[in-house]
Amino acid sequence: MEVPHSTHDAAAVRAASDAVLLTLMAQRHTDAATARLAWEEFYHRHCAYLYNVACRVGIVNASDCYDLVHETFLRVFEKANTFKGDGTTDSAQSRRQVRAWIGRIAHNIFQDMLRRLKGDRAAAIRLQDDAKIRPQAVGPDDPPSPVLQAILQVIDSLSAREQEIIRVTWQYYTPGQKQQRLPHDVVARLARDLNTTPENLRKIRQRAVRKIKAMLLSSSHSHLEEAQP
Amino acid sequence: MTRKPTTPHNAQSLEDQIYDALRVRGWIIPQTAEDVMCTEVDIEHNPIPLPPELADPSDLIRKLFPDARDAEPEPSHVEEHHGQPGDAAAAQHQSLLECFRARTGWKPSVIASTLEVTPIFLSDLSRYRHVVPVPAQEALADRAARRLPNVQRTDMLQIFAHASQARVAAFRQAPYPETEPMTYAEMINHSGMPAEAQHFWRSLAEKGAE
Repeated sequence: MEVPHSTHDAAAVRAASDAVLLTLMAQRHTDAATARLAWEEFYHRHCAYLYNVACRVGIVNASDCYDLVHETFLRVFEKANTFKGDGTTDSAQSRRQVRAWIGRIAHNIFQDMLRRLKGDRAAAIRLQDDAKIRPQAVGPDDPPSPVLQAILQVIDSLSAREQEIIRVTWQYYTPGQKQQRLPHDVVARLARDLNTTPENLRKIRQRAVRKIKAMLLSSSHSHLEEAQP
Repeated sequence: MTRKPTTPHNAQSLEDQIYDALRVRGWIIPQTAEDVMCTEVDIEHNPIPLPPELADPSDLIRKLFPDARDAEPEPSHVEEHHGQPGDAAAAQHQSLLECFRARTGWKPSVIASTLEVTPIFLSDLSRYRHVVPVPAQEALADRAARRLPNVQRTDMLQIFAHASQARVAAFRQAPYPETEPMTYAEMINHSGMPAEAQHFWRSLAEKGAE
């Protein structure tokens, strides 16, 4: 990969791959001007994407949405040296790898925001029900599977409080890992904002999960019955 | 690359299925290339325009490079050096949007609405003011002077006039290359304005070409 050497190579920086831009940012201590140019280019390439993601994740308050985007790009600059792509030459795949990395940074910041913000602002971050920006598909041509559609239906039917608890809980969930717990400070903050106790919070969550489970069981039974001759 | 474990496809637990459902809904930020691909498709079909607050990263640049202002050109997309004192000279150093915000104290969305344009169009006018044809500059300046408090027509035209002089891109030591990132026509096309408004702004370009 050819890395432009300085701001004299401005056009080269603008044409550089994301991985190269991140390399230039990582070299900020030796060439701040080029790092700055690289960051600006990187920002313009990915800002709209990240803003759309932030809108979809459920942030109501516009300034909180901007904060998430801003903080993410600031951290991208700090952490530029930690990006490790797989060296793919496919530009689309390379872009997605970079955006996945940006997504992990944004996810951590979003978790921090859930801890940090209080009261109405926190609630506004946690709960948005705007069908206009609700993603409908899991892939280019694939609708969500019937199971996922059914889960989403149940989630939609939950009370606002139940939805909020589910959404916050799963922000801290890592697929495939067992025995996961919501951090104590998050439980405490959520319980306080919802004017309830941590114990009651767990009960509400268990009840919501039971509803989803019951629906899945009932759905699978009806499929079995339909399959009967 | 360290990757967060992606959604398992076999023998999913209920918790994993809920995670998947929330991810599909967009409530969990995509963190794998596969999830990004799905999200990109969704965004392509249902994009949310970037607001002016995010279109211009100048504030962030000042945070990242607090010491660089003395040594570098003003951190904005298109900036020029000018030595005149006073408000008019200060306005020339600002982008259109910065100038509007400074004069009115309003949010960009309110300014855009008052000028009967979309925020994205206003942002683009501000960012690529050097490609805006003269009749469109005059129409915007007239409208701004009539509808926005503390905004003078002459100040607006000076900002446009200044942009047409030798331009130096932010943080660059050479002018922009000849191929510009956006034309006036493209600006209108992706403005999200109603057809009638688009026709109005397009007609100004045609008037300028005559």
